[in-house]
Amino acid sequence: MSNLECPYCLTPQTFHRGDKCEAEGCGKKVPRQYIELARTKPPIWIVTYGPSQHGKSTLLGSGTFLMERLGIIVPRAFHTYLDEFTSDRIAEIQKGQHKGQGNIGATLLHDTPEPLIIVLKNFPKPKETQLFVIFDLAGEVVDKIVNRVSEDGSRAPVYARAVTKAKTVWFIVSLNDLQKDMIATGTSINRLFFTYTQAMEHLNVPIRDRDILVTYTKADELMSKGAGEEEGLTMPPLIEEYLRDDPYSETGNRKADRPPALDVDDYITQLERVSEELRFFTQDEVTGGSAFVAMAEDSEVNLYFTINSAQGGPSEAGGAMGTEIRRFRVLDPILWTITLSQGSSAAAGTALILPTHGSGKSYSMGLPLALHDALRLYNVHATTYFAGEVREAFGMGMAPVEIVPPERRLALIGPILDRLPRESIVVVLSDEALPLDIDDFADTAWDERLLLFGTDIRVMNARIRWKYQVQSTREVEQITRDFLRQVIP
Amino acid sequence: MTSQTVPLVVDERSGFPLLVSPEGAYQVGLLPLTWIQLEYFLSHTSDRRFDALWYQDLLARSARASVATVNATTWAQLFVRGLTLHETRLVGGWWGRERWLLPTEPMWQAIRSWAHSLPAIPALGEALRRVGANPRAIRLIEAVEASTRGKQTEVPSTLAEQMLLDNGVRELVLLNEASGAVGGIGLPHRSLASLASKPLILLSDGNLTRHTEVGFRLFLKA
Repeated sequence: MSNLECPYCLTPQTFHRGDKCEAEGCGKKVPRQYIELARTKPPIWIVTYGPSQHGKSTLLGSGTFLMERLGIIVPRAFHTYLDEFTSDRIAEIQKGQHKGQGNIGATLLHDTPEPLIIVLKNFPKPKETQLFVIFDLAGEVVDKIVNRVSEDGSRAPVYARAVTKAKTVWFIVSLNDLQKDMIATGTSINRLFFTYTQAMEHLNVPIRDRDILVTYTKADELMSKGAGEEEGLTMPPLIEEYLRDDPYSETGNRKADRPPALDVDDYITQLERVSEELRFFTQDEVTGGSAFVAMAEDSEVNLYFTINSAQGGPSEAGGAMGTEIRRFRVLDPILWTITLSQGSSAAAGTALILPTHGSGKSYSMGLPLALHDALRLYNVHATTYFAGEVREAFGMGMAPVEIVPPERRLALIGPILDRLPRESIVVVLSDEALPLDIDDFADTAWDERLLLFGTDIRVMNARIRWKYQVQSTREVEQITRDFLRQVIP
Repeated sequence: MTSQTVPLVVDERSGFPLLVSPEGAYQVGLLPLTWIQLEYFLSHTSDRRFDALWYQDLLARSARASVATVNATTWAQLFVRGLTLHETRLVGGWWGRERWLLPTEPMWQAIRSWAHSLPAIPALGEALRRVGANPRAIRLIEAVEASTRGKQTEVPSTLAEQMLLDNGVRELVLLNEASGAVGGIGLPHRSLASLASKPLILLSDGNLTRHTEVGFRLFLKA
């Protein structure tokens, strides 16, 4: 039995009775391809978070334009939109972009925004498949989210839960517009971070080790200005050169030369270099930037930076003028997100072992799912087992929900551990009864890689190193983080 | 005593070492069946008889030691003792119904004589690593060697000593195929001294009764 989240309401479930979401209030038909793909590899959740009119939808329009033509730069790569909403919405955004009418594609504020569900096959490398669930959130979310999640008694809107779900959140910011906002309203880049952290806090989700991909849009507005033009932020020469040299800026345009094939490893190296340069630029030049970086670092959030110009500049927008759009570095956020979603090889073969008795406190406290989520936060996609049963209970990365423990099994972990790869990580959950063979692993190589949680004080009797008694799901995240930092270089 | 080397192989089910008998007809457990091996069986079987209650009952009669804490007085608790004959057949059958066999007394004695004629395997842990044995098996075997050694003079000199065929635990053997009579064979270690009076005891109603001093050793057809 494997579990996955409904892409529309984010509720984990098995889908073993069909493709209709069984969550109360949802009931949507989930694409079969989504279910099949998500069962083999967890989806990549993306949330676009940023003020109105800063270019979120425009970036998505240009990004999807390029996705539709990936086969030009990566042999045999292709895309699929998995539902009608995705196809229609992307067509709408792209139409608005071509007509130079950005508002046509603007995202409206809903409590239950629909995601774009997109599959990329053979990308960025042959035989690799990426399943994206993208929530393109309305700009107003930034203003509303804190109040909405603070409301007593009501369930957080889907957009807020999507923000918590995504390991990597795209902070989409037009620097020129941000400077204007600063003058008009005093708003700086800090506000984005503030509202994000507040929302996460209200929803009781730790932000440590989350990834924020700061995506600077409308880069054309920051390019070197000619004599007589107004003074403002000016991009570092290295970044300007990087933007102008995008080999894929005209991909798919009529009469454009065929671009070189994508060397993804080389490209990622460039992304890292550019990210570092933009970090310095943010600290030194962007209003509120140094505080933003410091706050993020203090919160132990991972910051990455990218920059693009989704339609080359205002004069080029609009097919009516006869000029085709050039899209500079719109591939970068996608490639960053794929890179950040990939787990550490050190975490390959991670196992989460659950108690065999369903009456235990750990189940009533919701610890299995909390542990699964805590691991996933660090790109560790565990396979779940029940103690005493070598058969997988939930496949790799699948959320352990609708759990039916095998009551008659013994609390044994050895037969499971002995089948795992050498460098595996194991997280064991126990209640009153400790695993019968837990002490067999004391003073072995497992001692560094085995984390034992117990709801009972007797867990402290185990002879292994990493053992904790837990009283709440919140403790689980912090302990797991400390443990993973030790075992994953 | 000859200097021939003994072929070591690894049991595919549990990764514990087996020795290939002289004519190559059998593979014999280097040691009597351990709790770790039994737990492999328990984690795979769908036979609902072997549940947590059954295990607790067995544990109550013959304790289980952990490799991490085993010492000169508790090492025998690494080996499973007290299975009924019926249970032994079910457990052994997991290694292959056509492969597993309950050794007869002559068969067991033949292995003992053969093992007495051979020197102990030097640097056993290393040898086991070379054949890819389960690390838990290696650790257990090294712990047994360390625990049973006591004084330096007690370093095993023969393969039989290394296999705990003497000074180990009694092992289940078939005494009479026609009647199905079974016995417990072997001289137990002095930690089980109260039971060490005879080298072979007849087990009454072995099919259903737990004889907590008797374990068994895997004998598999090659």
